[in-house]
Amino acid sequence: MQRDPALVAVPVSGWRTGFLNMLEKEHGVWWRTKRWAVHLILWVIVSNGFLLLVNFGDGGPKADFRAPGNFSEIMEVFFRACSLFATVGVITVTQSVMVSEKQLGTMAWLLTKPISRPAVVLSKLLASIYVVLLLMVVIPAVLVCVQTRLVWGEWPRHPGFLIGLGLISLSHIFYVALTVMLGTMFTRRGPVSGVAFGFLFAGLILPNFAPKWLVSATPWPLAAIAAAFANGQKIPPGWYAPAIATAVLIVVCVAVSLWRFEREEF
Amino acid sequence: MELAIQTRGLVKTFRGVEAVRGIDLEVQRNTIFGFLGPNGAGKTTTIKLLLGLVRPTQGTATVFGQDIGRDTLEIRRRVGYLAQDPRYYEHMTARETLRFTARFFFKTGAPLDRRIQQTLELVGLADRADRPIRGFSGGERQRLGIAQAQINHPDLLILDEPAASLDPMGRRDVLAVMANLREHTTIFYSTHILDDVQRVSDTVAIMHQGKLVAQASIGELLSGRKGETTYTIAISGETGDARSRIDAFPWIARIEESAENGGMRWLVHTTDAAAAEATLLRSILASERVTVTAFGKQTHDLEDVFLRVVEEADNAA
Repeated sequence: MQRDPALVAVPVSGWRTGFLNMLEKEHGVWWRTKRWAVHLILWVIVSNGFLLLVNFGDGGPKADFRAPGNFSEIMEVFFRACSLFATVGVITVTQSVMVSEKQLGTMAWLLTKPISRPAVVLSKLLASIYVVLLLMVVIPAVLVCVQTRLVWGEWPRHPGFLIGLGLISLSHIFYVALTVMLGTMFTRRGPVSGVAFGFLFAGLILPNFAPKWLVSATPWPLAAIAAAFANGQKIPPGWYAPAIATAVLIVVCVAVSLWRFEREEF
Repeated sequence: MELAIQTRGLVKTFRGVEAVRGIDLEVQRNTIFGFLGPNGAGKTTTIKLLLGLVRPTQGTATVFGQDIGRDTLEIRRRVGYLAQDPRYYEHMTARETLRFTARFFFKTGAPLDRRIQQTLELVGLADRADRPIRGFSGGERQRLGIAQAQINHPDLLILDEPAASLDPMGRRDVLAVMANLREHTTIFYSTHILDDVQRVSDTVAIMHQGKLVAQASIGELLSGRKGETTYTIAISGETGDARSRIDAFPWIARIEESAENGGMRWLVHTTDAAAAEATLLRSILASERVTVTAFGKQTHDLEDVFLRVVEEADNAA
């Protein structure tokens, strides 16, 4: 069969070769299947449903559910407990991003096409980040705003609420990058989720024993700082250290992912 | 003629085990190249080396003159590949799979949609194009595999056991597609179905235990040992003079005799095909009391050649 001269070739463009096509495919995994709806319902129930329980709990509406103290409690729970649930979700969602393609054999097939290895890693990373932020941060946050508006007749404090969301987003991006990095290192989900969950739950215990400087070099304190911002409380000195450290850790995880995946054989 | 594939001393070691042990391979353009070998011979590893899925431990290889390490993206633009056990994204339809594949090569638009439709029709999947792949049979998956491998009009099509899981009809279809593509494409395919190789290949290489133990045109390989042409002669009567005469020719390597139907059967191995063709029969018939009832070049079944080459390689090891 002769080649149709009207077909326009896509040029080879270094690390970007195949990136947009792969990004669209990753996009399709979420938005062209029912996966997005399942996760949307799940995370709205987990995050916002939990907040409703806090708001109207004890078997029925609390007598004083409009009390100002409850507003602070809602913010505290949203940024601490819900961000913990959401981080569990982040790891659950992204643990298979790299590993499942290796196990199914689609990664080997994919890499016989003109696509650069950085394009594979970065497209998966980017698609995971925006899905996680939309389904686990933005939509639950909008619903929290609706909840506070309906119950207390006011919106959450800003810019504290927005700064808090930014810090939580940073934490989620870190866990996406960590899980993707682990996915480039292992071929089974067990070690990927094991290490990521281990790191997450270590953050609940180790800060009680570890030196402060070490804890400040992790994303663990971000949820508490975010809650403080959202509630207009006194911000702990050096609050920016975990944020900067998390940003650096994200860069490190991405760099290691790119380095490791470039060397992987299929 | 520019080579489609050339390897020099290509070695691949996995944790101390040599899967490919210094192979020198040459594949001419616009040929169908059969790549044979028992399971575990190193065929798939060689293919993965050419595609950049694994890196060579030693040696070099080029595809259309481009280095497999440095120029892998450019090489993959010109190559189509069908894996032994092709895997796709199960949530996609056949059309979506082809669109996803094609967009690595071409920009979207009407010509691309036309190309996808043509390809679906070529492999007989047009009526199932919009069904999810998860419901496809093995044969349908293999057809989709061929479709995605040649959607980019590749200059080189690499097929790893393309007919292994197919029924006879499916095999026939795959061979027909390969024959249609040979005009514009070099086809490099690994298989253990020797019958198929004999039917469609121009050149054959045999791998065994990571080494290339034979590489020749299919005609050369089927005619016997390299550099030798063997004639089968059914002869009766007083054969002594004829035998003495031909024994004296310097291009006679050896003669095997056996009794057959009251006469003799000679297998005459020669080292100069042109001289033998011009002289051999005439010299035998110079004896008046000899009758030749059959004379012809001996051809071998590829299976015989394959087994002999592999056994020789085992003995040499």
